[in-house]
Amino acid sequence: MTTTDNSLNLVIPGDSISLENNDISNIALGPNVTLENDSTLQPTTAGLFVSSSTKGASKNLYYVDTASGRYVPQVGDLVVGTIIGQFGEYYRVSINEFSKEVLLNIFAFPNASKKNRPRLQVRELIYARVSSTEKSVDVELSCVDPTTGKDGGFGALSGGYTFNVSCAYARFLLFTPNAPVLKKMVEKLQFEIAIGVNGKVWIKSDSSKATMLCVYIISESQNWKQSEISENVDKLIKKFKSL
Amino acid sequence: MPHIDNTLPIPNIITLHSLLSGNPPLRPSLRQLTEPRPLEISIASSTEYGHIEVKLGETYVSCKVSAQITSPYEDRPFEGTFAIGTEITPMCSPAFTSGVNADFSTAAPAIVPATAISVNNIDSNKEGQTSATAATNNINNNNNNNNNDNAVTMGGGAVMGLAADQAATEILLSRLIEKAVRRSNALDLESLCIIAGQKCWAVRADVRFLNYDGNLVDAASVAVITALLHYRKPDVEVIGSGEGSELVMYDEKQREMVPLSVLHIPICVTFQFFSTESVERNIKGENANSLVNNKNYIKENSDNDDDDLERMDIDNDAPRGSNEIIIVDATAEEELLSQGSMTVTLNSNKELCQISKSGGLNVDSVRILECCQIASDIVNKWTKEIKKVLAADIEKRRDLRAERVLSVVNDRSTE
Amino acid sequence: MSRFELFSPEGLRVDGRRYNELRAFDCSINTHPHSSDGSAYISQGNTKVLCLIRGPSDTLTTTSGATASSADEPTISVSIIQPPYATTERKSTSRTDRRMAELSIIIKRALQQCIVKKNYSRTLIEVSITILQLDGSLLPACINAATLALIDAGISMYDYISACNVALYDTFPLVDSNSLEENDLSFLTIGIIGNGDKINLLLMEDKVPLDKLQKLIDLGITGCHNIRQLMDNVVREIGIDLLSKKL
Repeated sequence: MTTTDNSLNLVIPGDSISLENNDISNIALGPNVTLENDSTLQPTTAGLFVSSSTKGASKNLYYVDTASGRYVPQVGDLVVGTIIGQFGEYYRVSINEFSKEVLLNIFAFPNASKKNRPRLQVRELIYARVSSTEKSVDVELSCVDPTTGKDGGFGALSGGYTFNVSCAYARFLLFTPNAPVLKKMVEKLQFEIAIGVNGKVWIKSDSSKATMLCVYIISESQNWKQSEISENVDKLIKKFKSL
Repeated sequence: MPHIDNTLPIPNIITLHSLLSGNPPLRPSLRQLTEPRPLEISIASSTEYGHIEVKLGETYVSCKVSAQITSPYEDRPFEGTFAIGTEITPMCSPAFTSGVNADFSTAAPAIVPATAISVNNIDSNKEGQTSATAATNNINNNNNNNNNDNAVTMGGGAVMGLAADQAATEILLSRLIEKAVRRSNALDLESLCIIAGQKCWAVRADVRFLNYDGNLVDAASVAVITALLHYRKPDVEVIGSGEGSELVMYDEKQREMVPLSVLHIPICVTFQFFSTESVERNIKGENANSLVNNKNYIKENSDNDDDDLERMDIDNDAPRGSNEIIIVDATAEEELLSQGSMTVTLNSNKELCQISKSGGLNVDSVRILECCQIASDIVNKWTKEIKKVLAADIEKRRDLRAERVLSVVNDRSTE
Repeated sequence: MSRFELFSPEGLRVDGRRYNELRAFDCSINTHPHSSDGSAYISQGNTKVLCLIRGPSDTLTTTSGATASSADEPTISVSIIQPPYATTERKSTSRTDRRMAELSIIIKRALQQCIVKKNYSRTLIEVSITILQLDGSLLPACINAATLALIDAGISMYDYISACNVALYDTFPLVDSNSLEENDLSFLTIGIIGNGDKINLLLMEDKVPLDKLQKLIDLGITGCHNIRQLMDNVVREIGIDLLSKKL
């Protein structure tokens, strides 16, 4: 099986992907692919094989985008979590249902000091960045943007509503510039949104009814075809207006 | 992954609550308050009898009925036996663990789900008063309440909720189904007797919960009763009498299978209750004034200052009617939020087979009667649905059998 | 239907009561001051129940996880013991009896609504109920006894929770049923907190036509109010007695 640059292909473990006219030293491997030998790659997970060579980047990037069920934290990921407790200098935060919680240092906020720091309550929502995923130590989050030292949009999310989408869809919404559904929604509605790659989306609009509409559109849009999006959004808005 | 676990975040709770108490009240699922999710009944096997799958929205339940011949209980020689197995396994949601039920005596004092939070608290801690607060204000204003003192407690111990109270959930669930189907004599046990005191049928209905999205009880009750109606047991005959009698069982090919004698179709309908008022207000209601004004009224344990303040507030408040919001067929999310539930079992003859409301929010008797009326309508609808599915299946199987008979005739004639 | 005439045309029941008459009601509190923090004994006719309460005490262990850390309400544990001699038929009930387990959960949930939860975060309140003699109206007797014991233990509550059974004979509701009536008739248990019309507990296990429900509930509410009054009288009397000793 051969792939050309900037194309999408379904790969399954056992397939082999041969690289054409590519210098081994010039490639970067993303998640879910291994180098079998000098000219072939092997996918380790079923999914879409993506090879991209962005302009300016010196290397070609290869990875397999997969619809994994469970979110596994990686440093730098943006996540939405729920505070579920506090002990010592840490909040305990749930970013995956029914799994071990992760930690958020109570000082991991911009300009936090002993006296002046956000006091979060149990069950409050936060938007944070995964700051460390050392082996054999609990995963840690941070609400500070490491490049600026400012909040960078992180912190407690008040009001609104969180709901789950698949991890792959959350990544799609977050990383696709002008994701069609969001683009369409922006035209029609006003809302604030925070997308966590852990599959949680927080959304807030001016009323709880409008919030619910946004929630509906996004969670339903997972199952829509590209071509249907515009029409379906209009339909849902109409339905909500009649309620 | 499931969409919720026990930790419903505060913003969600507030938004859902303001939706429910808005005007018009809106459920997160966009249904009417008294509108159940679409019920889907399917027959799991095209050859076997008594294997039913029921879908109520995302809640998915299957029930298999089986029967074998045993000897009856000594004190009931003329009756067969009937048992229902309802075990909740992690299959339907990771919120449940298996095997909890085996040891409920120790699990009974388990920690109650800590879903009770007060909105009041949240507001006072927020710097930026955002739309969330506006939403809560909204709730309060609707009810002419004093915002300072109305700690709206949402979610409570009385939830038919998730894992933390799984032992209780399981016991209540199995008892509910038991009372609804077995105790109400839906299955005529005397018709299961083969030889008095010696042989009888032991019928068993095993319920499997395949997916959990609230309201397991209603789905399970529909599944059990449909499976019983659908089940056919092999025909048996006692040949001879006295000592030398013999029991002969005929299989499907020899004789037509016999349906169980089901006397009526009981169906459970579960209601969840919400309220925007404080517990105190809910309890005292309209009588609050008269109680406080009563000179003889001595308050027990009145050493709590907060308590006094609240009472003062009640004193100033005008008498109020019931403010309970009642919804039918709740999803898992709504169940987490609920402050109390009631399950009503009815059949299409408007006979109540069972009611169970244990604790939780106090609800006006008039509202309870209303609930029963609503339940009656739903039961009628679902009974029709059950009958439709069963009739369609009988039709299908008859065609199959006719085909088989014809093919046999055909085979013979070509020989 | 029955060997007995449960409700005569003259309007008398097997034990000579009218339809709306409670059985002889007697109760006392602080019966076991040394073995418990609160105790009460109650007899409704031949149903006699003892309730002991221990608590509020610290919960022994807090399990890790969300539930324990944010628990802002008391843990209530209810255990019911029915010794073999409680009924005419000598029969021991096993500890794992589902019916008893259900009963204890129901009582627990009813009490939960009645206790001022916010005063008792992270505490344990143990309620143990012993059925000394059983002649119908089991659940109401347990709940009434538990209310009194809670009052004796000094646990803050919003109001009394009182309960009673109502049986249905043809079209006549009969309040505070005994076991003879319960064996043959459908009955309903109703529980009310305070003096209002709002129902906290409603339990029915047998068939009743839908249009009869209203009657049953109405009589049940009256029954609950009467029982509440009876308990209130006793508690007040004891209270006045205690006060007179102090002054």
